[in-house]
Amino acid sequence: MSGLTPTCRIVNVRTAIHVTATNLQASTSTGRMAIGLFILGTVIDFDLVNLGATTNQLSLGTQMGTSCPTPDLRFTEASPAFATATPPYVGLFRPFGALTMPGGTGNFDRFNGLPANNTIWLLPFYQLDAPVTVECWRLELDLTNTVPNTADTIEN
Amino acid sequence: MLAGFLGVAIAIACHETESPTNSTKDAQHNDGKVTTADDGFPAPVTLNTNPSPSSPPNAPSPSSPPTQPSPGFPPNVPSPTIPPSFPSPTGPSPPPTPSGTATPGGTATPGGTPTATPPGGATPTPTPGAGVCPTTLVVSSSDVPFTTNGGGVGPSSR
Repeated sequence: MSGLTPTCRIVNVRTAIHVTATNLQASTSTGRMAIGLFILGTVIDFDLVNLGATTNQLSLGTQMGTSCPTPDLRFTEASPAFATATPPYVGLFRPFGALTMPGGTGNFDRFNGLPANNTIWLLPFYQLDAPVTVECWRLELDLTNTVPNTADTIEN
Repeated sequence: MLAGFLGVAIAIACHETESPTNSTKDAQHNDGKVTTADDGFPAPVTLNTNPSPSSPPNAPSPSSPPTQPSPGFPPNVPSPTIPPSFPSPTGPSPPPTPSGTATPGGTATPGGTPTATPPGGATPTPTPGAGVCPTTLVVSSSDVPFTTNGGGVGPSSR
């Protein structure tokens, strides 16, 4: 059995998480927590949340999002910044985005056009001051099947 | 402060993996939870992009027995003989028509082939064939088996 065709590429990304902690204030006490969204070996410069580059504010409460298996802390384009979120951080927010800009790109364009097959997605946490637990994580990829053009064939 | 890279992974793999219902989760990641307090990188979650149905379809309900053939129709009762008409004033009426022969009853139609009842419950998701590219692909860490590889890779720090 085979999976996605190699020409199957990403055109949009949405993701959602539910994170708990004994005390988010302790986990983010330095106000620098970052939650990345990576593709192993391909994308290592993308954050969903980056407190250090935005508000430097602590997160409060014991959870970010409240439900599983369909988390309700969702990241999608054209939504308010996560900086506007309040505990328990439920709602739609735009990602911090690619780190190519100091304030982030605020969209998922970093992933557009990348092949979807054989990808390993990572949800890394950085600059935590105490543990958190990822209760669940959902990833939605909009895909399109692109046929290699002649130029690609010649180049390859 | 916790040092290093801590996180969770989902793999969108081409190869076939166990279906969720037949897999066991690693004890460290029971219920899909991953705690990022560990020094090591949590084992990646392997996601089957060609999931088998989460639950096998219910067995078709027993076929209903064929309908018993209906008995043949009884032969028609011969129509009574038409009594001769009374002669009309203008002339004798034609001789009476003899009654027809009774038509035998039709052949009984056997009962139709019973149709299996569709499986109850959720309809299994069709397994994509080779080289598929769905419009939207949804993967979740809460409904896939975790696999352990004794560690992982990732950026060491930021």
